[in-house]
Amino acid sequence: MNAKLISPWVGLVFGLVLSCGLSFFFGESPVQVFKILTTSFFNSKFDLGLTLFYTTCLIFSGLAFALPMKAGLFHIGSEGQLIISALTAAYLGTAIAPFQHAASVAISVFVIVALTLLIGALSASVIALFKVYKQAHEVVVAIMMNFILAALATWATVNKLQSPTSQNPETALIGESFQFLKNDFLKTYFENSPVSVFLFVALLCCVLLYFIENRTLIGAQVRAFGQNPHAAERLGISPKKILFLSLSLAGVFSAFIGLTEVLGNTFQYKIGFSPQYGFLGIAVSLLAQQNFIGIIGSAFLMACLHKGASDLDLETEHMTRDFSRVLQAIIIFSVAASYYIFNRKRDKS
Amino acid sequence: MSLIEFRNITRQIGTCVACSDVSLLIEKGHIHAIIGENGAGKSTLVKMLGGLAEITSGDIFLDSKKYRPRSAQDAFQNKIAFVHQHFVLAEQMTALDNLVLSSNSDKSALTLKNSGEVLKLAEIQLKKFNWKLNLNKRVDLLSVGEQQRLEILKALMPNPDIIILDEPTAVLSPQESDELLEFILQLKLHGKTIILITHKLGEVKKVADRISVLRQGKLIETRDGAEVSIEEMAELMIGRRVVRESAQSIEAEAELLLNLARVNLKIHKGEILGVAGIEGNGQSELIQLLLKNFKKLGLHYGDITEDRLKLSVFGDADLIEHMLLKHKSIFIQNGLINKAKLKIETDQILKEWDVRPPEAHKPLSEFSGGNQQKFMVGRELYDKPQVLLAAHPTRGVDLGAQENIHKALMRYSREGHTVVLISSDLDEVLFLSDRFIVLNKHRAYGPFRKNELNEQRIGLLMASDNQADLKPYWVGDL
Amino acid sequence: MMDSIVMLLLLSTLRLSLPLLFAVTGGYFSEKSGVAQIALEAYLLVGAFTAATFTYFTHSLAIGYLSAALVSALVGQIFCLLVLKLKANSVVIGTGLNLFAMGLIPIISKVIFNSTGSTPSLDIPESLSLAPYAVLAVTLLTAFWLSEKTNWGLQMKFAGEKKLALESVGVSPTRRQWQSLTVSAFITGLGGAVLSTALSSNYSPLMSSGRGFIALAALIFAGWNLPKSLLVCLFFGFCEALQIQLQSNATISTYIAAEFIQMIPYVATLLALLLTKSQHPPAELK
Repeated sequence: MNAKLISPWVGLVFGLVLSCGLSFFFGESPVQVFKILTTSFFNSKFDLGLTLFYTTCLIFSGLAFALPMKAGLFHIGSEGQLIISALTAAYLGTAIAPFQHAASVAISVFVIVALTLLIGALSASVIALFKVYKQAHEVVVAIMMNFILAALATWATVNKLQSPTSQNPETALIGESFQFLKNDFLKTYFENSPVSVFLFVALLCCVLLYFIENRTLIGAQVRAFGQNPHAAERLGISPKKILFLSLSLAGVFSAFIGLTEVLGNTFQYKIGFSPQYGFLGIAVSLLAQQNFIGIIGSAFLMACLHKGASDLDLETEHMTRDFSRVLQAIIIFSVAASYYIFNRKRDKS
Repeated sequence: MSLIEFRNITRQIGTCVACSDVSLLIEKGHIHAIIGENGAGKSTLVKMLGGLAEITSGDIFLDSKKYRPRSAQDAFQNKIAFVHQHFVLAEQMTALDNLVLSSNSDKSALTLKNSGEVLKLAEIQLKKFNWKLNLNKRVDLLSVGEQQRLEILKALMPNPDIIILDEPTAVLSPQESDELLEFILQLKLHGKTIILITHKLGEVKKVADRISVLRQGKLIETRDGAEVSIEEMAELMIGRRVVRESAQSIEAEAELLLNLARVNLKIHKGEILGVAGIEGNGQSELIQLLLKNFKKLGLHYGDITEDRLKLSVFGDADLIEHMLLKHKSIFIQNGLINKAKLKIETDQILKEWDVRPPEAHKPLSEFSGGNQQKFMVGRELYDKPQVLLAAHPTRGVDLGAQENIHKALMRYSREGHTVVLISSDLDEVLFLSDRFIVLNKHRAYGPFRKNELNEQRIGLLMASDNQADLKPYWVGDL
Repeated sequence: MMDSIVMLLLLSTLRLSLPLLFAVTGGYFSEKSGVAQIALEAYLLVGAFTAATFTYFTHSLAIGYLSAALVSALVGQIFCLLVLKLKANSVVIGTGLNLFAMGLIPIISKVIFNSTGSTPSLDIPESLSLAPYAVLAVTLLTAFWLSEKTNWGLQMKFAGEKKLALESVGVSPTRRQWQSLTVSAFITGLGGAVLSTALSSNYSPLMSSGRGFIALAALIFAGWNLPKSLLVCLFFGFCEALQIQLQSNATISTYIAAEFIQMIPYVATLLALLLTKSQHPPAELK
């Protein structure tokens, strides 16, 4: 196989080994830590379900980073978008009261989903807006937007939508009729774990994007723009179109994380529900080298590690669930470094 | 006793010979001009002197001592200063900061910035040559002419003996150019040796003591400035050219394709219209104007861009993708890409144009320049556009491919299509065009028929700045 | 009554601006040398935790500050190595470094203090309450001297503005960037020390709470100008002080929520991007 394809995986392995080695300094056995990290995801059906729930969210956040990356953009605004869209879904879920009729419920669900995705798309389009009209760097705008959206969501939750029955900062549960995913076959099979049919939506998104990228003109145009915006413009491809399209789609994927949480897991918006999925998506995407199908695999892998890391709390004396972040960081580092190391070798030969 | 001697200097990169066996003497205290067309090897020659390009074979002697610079620092040590055509200035810093940096070195890092001292020295230099420049201004607030002065001042700060000026007037207004020439004479009065690279003959005539003419990497002749006329220089620079017999004569009744009002130019069906001129004289503006008009009139056009790497090649995309991006409507059916057809047609182009290796799935960026260009020409001609914009169509292409491209363009125009050929290679323009215009300082002259002008006149149109030479042919500004 | 409120507000503005002033100075050295810096948050956290730990064990505030700066600079070497040597993207690595700091500190804290939460309380004598201001003064003066008065500062800026000019006088831009990034982490680490030893009396998890990004916002808002960005930090510090005042004042907080005041730095920066004609990031910033 060529070096370019294997380089992130070498980076991953190196990162894993390095992370486990690190645990030695905290008085833990690296082998033990490695075992927990890599095996705890199938301890039980519930655990596997939880891992698949993480996988769902990480696929979406991986897509939210990978798609703009194809157009040459660093999109780190996913975190803010997923927060605001989760809140939107939770608000709409409490505000809309459908009739008992199935059609009424279906329409209401459709409205909730559509509006949530729209909010995601709009909040991401702000970045494109600044990029197109003010030539502002997308990273700067995304950082500002992350904080603004998070603060807005906190304000709305605490001041307007606080659940009266809870001490924690969270909204009330969405209407009973919207909690239909509570008892679906997936949840039943996985012993009521957070996983939901949104897993299939995520998989479908990957396949769909892969198809669009490889079989349609717009896919080729987005990629072409990412590789050489000047040449793309000369061929008549509008930068505006590409920037707005790729970023608002990324916003839609961020919004799907909100839906996964609110319609498929807790049925409410909780402040701090996201363990920074928006940033974990960067590692997922880097590992898959922005390959939309590859993201499924790398998201599952990262989900396993994330699940494994959260079990470190119980299974070891000193390691805590925070180790997940360390792991993600080291994987980001080693994957990024492996690109250089492998490509340099290739350039030399 | 000459100060600088080039002895049998050759520079070769791969199979491309930029300078071939050049031997040249430069006297102390002279203004020595080196003239030639784009790609004649002028810049390469002086870059070797400035330590910026490696010498393949031959020797340079400074004051009769052998001199082989490995870096710009080596040249600096030998009191050689290089003023680049493209400014090396930090635009958001003050002129003074740029000057201070130029006298910096790795070792001086933790010493105090001696702005005051540098300012004083710079003021002395400015006074000496009676120049004005506000050193406390930010560079991006200075005019281009002032930036140029700053660049020259930077070179003068260490008090060099030899100053190389690479096309210093390329970006200057006529008035600024005159001031610069005045300044160069001042430098000479102060005993400096100046090497002036340019293709503006009027300037050369005004200031140069000696003039060397380069053509296609070879030194053609070195003459005294006083004894050679502008006309002679133009002829030496251009040489004798082959002119193709026009396949058909474009008569008044030829059908009109497009009327470019701004430059008063009618483009006809079935002709190859050439655009000659040294690069940077309005070519990019003309290209933008043409593209705008093509789009406005809804013409079906092909576009061989002026800068292949920047404007045509997508990093990781393979040939098939490049084909798709250009001819989208042909290969999209029901919203989907027809991959089979795309592959067949791309392979067809590879075969027809002998693109090597003939691998449609290889990224275009991994092909050699010549093969990239062959593919590009093939792609742009693939669906027989009404008009083809061909900018430098044979740049970086070997002789065989060049011939193929030339033949294809001729065949194509004979089929009744139009070609607008923009090229800094005068041979190419004269060989292919039915008619041509000349660009000089963003002004267009012509159009001329084949054989209407001799080499000397073309050279003058391209390089002269004497309005009397140009005025009769002027048609419009870009 | 009114006077004392204003006085209190001003004093707490000054206090709350402290970490921002350090972080923005740190960020300045990185961004000016041409490397986009979104890892200030990581340096603040590392600095805060290190200072709390070392001060706790040595009972010396000075050692606390020094160790915070040194450890932060050490962590900065990871960033330098990956971005400058291994040519990784600075935004990706910056994000990674933030995750790294957020994840590693609780684990180390667990090992040392057997708790992932706050570190034990520090007993810092009243007499040292002006220490952070002294450290700030020294830092700002040194930073100003380095960037404005020395040739190093000039070369560092050229690494961010025109690499070619720097190379042509024989100075490696990468080396200047490496040094400048180290200075950046060092100074920001001091800001972290202020967080845990002056603004509070221990380290608590994620106590930087976005100040690294606020500092970055201030830098951009001020158009990469150090003196201006310090003023902007004072303004952002004022917003924070105001917000704390409001939270304790029930009548006002019904009119304007704390979250909106929290938002001010970010909204102001976006507005600045939107309204001002053009920003002037260093030409080679990436």
